Amino acid sequence: MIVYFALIDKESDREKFVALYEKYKKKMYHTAYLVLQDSYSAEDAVHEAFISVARNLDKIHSVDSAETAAYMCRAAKTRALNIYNAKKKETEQESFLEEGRDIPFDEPEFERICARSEVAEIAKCINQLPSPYRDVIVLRYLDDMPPREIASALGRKPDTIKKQLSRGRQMLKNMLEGGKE
Amino acid sequence: MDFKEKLRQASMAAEKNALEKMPSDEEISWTPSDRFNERMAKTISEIGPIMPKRAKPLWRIYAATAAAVVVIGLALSPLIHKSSDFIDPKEESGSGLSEDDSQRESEGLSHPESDSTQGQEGESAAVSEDHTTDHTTDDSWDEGHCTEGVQEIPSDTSVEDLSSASPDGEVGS
Repeated sequence: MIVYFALIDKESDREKFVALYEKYKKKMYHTAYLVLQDSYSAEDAVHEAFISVARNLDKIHSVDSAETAAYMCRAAKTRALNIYNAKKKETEQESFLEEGRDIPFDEPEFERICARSEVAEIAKCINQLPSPYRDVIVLRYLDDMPPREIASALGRKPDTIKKQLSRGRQMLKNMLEGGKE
Repeated sequence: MDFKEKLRQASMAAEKNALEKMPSDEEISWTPSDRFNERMAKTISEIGPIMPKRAKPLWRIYAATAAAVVVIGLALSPLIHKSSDFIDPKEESGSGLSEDDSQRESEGLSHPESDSTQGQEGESAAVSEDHTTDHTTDDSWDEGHCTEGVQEIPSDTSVEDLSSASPDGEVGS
């Protein structure tokens, strides 16, 4: 009887997983390919992303929702960035960031500006951020991941993530204030 | 709404906007390689082990427990039934001993090993030995008890006659 209940679980989970696979595999591949520019590596990223999705299947309530679509593409992009960073340990950008050109950042001021801005306005600014900063901002605030987890997911150093977060927020603040960095 | 919640919603909106700009499935020209298909097929077949263990809903735990109790009950029922057919040896020896003892008393016999100086172990051993001897040698005991006070009922006696029989064994009026 217990085995039977376990099978029901497995069967419904498998159906859900297959539905996710059929619906999002192409979009995930496209997302990964944009990062890696290589079909073979992009497939690796998509496969790894699906393993990550399987581990978090409980968190997905609806296969067709926009949230799920965003989550699936984000999973593929995160894995692709991880593979990318593993291949190129030290990119120019990371070296530049780790050299210590850290911008002094006023956290309370950032919070105050965000609190008085409209959601749509912030969303527009997030989409205008350069990719590395946009990615860490989304993972930090949408997935509520701490910097150490983001570093692990993206295959970057925690210090790099902290600096990218700091710089990303500074850029966002400047955009919201109407200035340019 | 605090700034974190606002940033969360804004990030979600940004993700949705990015999705809208993404090409449709028909526009993405990708044919998965055999290697990819094989790996995904393996992942799908192993979906159970990959997923983290999670707590079962309570109703499943209750149902599984009830089912287990029923199964165990059914499995044990023949054994329980069998054991109820046995006469408890303890009970048998106990009643036998007391009957035997009372008979001995009525016949004016003293218990051969009832000396107070004897230990408990020795006493019980001697009693059981004595008890065995009684059953194997004392034929008159069985015969006497079985036949005493029993009258033979004639073969032509009807049920009505039996029902009206008096307690002292007289059949019919």
